Amino acid sequence: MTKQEFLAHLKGELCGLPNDEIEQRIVFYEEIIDDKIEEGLNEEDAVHSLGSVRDIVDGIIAEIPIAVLIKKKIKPKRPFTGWEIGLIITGSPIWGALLISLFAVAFSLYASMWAVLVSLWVSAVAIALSSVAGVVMLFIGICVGNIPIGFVFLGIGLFLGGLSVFAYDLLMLCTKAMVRLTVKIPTWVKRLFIKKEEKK
Amino acid sequence: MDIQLKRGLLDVCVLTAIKNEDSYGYKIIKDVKPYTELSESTLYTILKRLETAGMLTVRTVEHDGRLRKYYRITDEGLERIEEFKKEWKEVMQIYQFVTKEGGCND
Repeated sequence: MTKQEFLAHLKGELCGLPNDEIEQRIVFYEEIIDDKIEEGLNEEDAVHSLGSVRDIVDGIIAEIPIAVLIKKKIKPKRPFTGWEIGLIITGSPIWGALLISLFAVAFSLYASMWAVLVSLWVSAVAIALSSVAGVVMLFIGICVGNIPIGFVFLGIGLFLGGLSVFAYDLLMLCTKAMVRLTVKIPTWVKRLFIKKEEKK
Repeated sequence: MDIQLKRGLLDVCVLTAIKNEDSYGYKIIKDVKPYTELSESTLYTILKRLETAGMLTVRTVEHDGRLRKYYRITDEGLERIEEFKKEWKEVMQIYQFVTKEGGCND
């Protein structure tokens, strides 16, 4: 990728940000690339050493407060006319309610994912406890003189113990994935504002 | 490392890189590199933050037919480095206590 291609790509990806912010970042990256070229790197290597545009943009988005993106997004290109303001106010029961329900749906989806995970963890703990009960049942079986039944319970207990170890690994993976998802949500939300602007 | 802690450390690294003479983006990255990782996008954010906090000033200079931004430390920036040195004396004492073999005896 050439310097100009890189800068154009970066500019395109950042177009949801305030214009002066984009301009300053482009100037900054251009200067760094020029300095690297001056030091002896060829243009392609100088650009490559900066990493992917996607990673750079993710880093930038993560740093910029969401309020700045929303402000830029909802800022009208021209002042609203009287009837437009009237329409916004009279329509607020509809779009306001829609907006609230959209947030509510997104939040309940997220909350239910955690709820499923919590209930699975509780089930895994219950399975692990059942395996302990299997061992206890073996001793009860021996005490009451019914040794075969005791061993049946021990077998079931050991099976459940194995299952709980398997469930633990699986649930740890799912929990880590959910934590990663949670960390990425702010970036996704911010990207929504940037992407929408880009399509115009 | 804790993000806030790392951020504070990088701020001081950048200020130190411009402490003795004015410097520019790529040179700051090269000067800090032997000590810690500093990406271009992180540097941009740090420079902006330090400029807003009045710890450095920026001037644009013509260099080989193109423009280059030079960063100069202010008195506030120098003060921040001194503050950091004092804070870290205390942190190092805590570190020595934490890493002391056997810990404390009750």
